[in-house]
Amino acid sequence: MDAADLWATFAEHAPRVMPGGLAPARAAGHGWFAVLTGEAHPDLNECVLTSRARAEDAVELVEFIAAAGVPALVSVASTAGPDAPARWRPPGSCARPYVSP
Amino acid sequence: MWCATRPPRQTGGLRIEPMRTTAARDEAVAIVAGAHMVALEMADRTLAPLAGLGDGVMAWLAYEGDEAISVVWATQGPRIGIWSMMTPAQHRRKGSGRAVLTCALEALWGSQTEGAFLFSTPAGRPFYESVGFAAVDDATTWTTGASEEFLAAIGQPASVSDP
Repeated sequence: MDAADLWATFAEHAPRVMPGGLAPARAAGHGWFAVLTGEAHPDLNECVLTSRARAEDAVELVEFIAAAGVPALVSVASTAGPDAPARWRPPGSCARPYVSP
Repeated sequence: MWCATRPPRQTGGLRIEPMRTTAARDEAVAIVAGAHMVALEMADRTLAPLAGLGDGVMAWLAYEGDEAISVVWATQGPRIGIWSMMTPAQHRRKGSGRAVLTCALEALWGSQTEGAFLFSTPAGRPFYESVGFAAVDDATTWTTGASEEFLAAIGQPASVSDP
């Protein structure tokens, strides 16, 4: 399974699970997508920099989140790059610890 | 993570039911809200409504007696998406997660199915591998714009410097 192909499927399906919220907003670029509900909780505003992400994709995603004015989860694919490396970190963010499945 | 072969159904003796009623959806939403530390009304507003279940979204619940103890949401298609698989802490290690997941996949998997995918946390990865999923990519996840209250709740410092 190709990672970029699977990220594309992920982007297609994700809005179907969370179609609602205070201000739903969906957007996607060459190497990113965002499924925002507009709720004031990061787990309900999911964003990904995918395998195809470049530096400009990171900029576009950050701008989209900022325009929405909501907290968000931003996942960065390890296969992203080389201009948007997997270790790229959104400005002002902190690591999201996961304690349980 | 990706699973190309349908795993066998394993209920562990639990009752597994597809989510078909408002009451069942309320139970599912409550489990998800608790697991994510999300207000109940937020989870209710955002998750697919019953009417949306015809839009290729379904959910299954595992019951211990009359109590719902695990939920999984799934999106249908040639590639089945697995989402928000949750079990409250007090009900873990009872096999309910495996039960709802394998029953959901059994119900949705057809002759045209290529496989199933999901996004796992690091903590959840060994479980999904035991079911038959394999990692396709790894991702690092960050939180942006969260309130100080939320950061405190997840054990993160309120002030974070940029790297």
